[in-house]
Amino acid sequence: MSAARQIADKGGARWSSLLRATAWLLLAAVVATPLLLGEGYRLPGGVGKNYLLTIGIFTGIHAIIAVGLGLLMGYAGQVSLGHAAFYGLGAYSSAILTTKLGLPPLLAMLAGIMLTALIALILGAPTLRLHGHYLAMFTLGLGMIVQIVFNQARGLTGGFGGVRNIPHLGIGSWQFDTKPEFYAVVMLTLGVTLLMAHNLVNSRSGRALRALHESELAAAICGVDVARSKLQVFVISAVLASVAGSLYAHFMRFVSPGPFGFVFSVDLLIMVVVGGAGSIWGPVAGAALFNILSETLGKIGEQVPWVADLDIVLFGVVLVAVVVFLPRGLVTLAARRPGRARGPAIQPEAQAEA
Amino acid sequence: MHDCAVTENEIVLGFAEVSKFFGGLVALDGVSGEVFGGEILGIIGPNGAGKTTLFNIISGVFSPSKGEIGLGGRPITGLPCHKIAHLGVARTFQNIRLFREMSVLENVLVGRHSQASASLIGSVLRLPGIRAEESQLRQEALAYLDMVGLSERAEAKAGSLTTGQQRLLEIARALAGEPQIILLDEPAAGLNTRETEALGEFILRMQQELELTIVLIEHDMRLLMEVAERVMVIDRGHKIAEGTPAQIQADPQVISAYLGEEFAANGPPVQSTEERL
Repeated sequence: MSAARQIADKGGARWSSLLRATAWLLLAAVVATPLLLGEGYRLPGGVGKNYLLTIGIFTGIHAIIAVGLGLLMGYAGQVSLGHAAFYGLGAYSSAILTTKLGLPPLLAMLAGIMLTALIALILGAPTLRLHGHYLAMFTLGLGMIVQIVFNQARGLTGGFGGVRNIPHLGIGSWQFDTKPEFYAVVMLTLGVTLLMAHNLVNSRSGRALRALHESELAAAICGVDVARSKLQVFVISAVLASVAGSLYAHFMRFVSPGPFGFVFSVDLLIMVVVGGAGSIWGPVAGAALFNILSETLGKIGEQVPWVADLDIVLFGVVLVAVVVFLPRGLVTLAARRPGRARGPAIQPEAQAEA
Repeated sequence: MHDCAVTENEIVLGFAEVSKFFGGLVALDGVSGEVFGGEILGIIGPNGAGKTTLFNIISGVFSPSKGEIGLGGRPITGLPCHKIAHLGVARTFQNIRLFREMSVLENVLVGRHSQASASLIGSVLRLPGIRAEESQLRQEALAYLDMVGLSERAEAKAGSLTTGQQRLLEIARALAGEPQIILLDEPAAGLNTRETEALGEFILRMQQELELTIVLIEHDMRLLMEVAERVMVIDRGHKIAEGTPAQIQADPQVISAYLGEEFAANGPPVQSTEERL
């Protein structure tokens, strides 16, 4: 390694630790803003505390699913077209078990997790042994079946009308019945999700996943059980969707089949791909951007009705732009260090090799 | 004489009447053989003769269409790759298959997968012991990089290494699984003369210091004849000869099928091989 390169690397390291500290502060500020804002205060566009909290809660719930889906897509190289179904299974488990059986919310959430994990296991075990994107087709089918069940099993799910009067989320007598409290719970859950995803990616299992994503054959030769690793990450991603679904049910206190259809599965894919599947933070950024954009369009749509219908077009354009210009998602923007941008001289061998 | 010395060792790997058909194509046709503990067995033959197919069958990439494979006396026919890896068979690839986007060190860490025990749940929850195992794994992985002289590039992306370094990294990754037998598929391909010489020395070190059994497919005859104690010749899916390098170089059938008259006449002197042994 040349002296010049060492100096460049040292400078880069200092830069990146500075940037990292700034990023954490910024993130903390963004997360805390909706909580610290005064009740009467209005941000530009008439955005108040309540509204910000709601966007924050939805962003958080979506981000929890997106992080799991990002692990599946970016690390195991598999696509799920039915994550809305797992989200729905979590939501309906919480809804039905708390209203009809009177189970405590956390127990109902746990039951939802078990049900979802079981279904993911049954679906994934045979499919993930095959090469190729069979999982995408199987999850597409699952999404349709689950949607039919939500609509048709009226005795259980209330059909089109859904399940009402879902209790607040709470632990014992501690009820999270205000919006700021619920927002804090969602952010905390997202934080724990991110921490666990971080642990996973930087562990023996995570390394095995990244390895098999590059070459399944080489990973297997190294002793990695490829099918099992993919199955594990699929089940984890399904469980995270289920947890998010339970949170949704307790926030809305009402569930109906609508939000758990194919369209939302595609929305989730957009969040993950736009944000960046190969990282932990990418899907979070994708979820935030998705929610902010659709809310902004919705706000403008209140004045200019046709704008509200532009969301699909806009997401399409954003998706294409990201895939073409930032194939690894928006996070690549954040990962670009000042030292890196200066030129290709940093990795001369890589150039020669390519 | 050498045959006697070799056969005193026990058989680590055996394959009996192994055939592989791809549709109508016969890649291997009833090949039998054995590998003795601690030896270096060379496999030569023209391109497309079925050498790599044999490696693929031994390492579990393909199941044989017919025949049996045994490792240390137990049948492994049809077992998946990762199970065979856990039983102590490691290999490298003719067309290098590294995890190019991962760091050099991480490649070796994946190679050490079967030597670690951290479970998925344990890792996600970062249970006690995980961190200790992880730092121990890193130390061990660095030691393997040291062995092939790549520890200074530990943090570089594997894809940024030169071909010679990539071949060495692939060997380090294979060694990290602590195999009892290692299959090297044309490790000298793309290396210059100096690198090939270093590789030859390293192969001998692996045999002596790590007490490994080595099977080597190689087109570089000088390298092969220098390190191999026995040579097996495969042509069009059949084993056509087997013996010491000297015997193989004198075999008229091998000369006509593969070596050619010129090499038999001008190749590495037979005496040097004899001297080393």
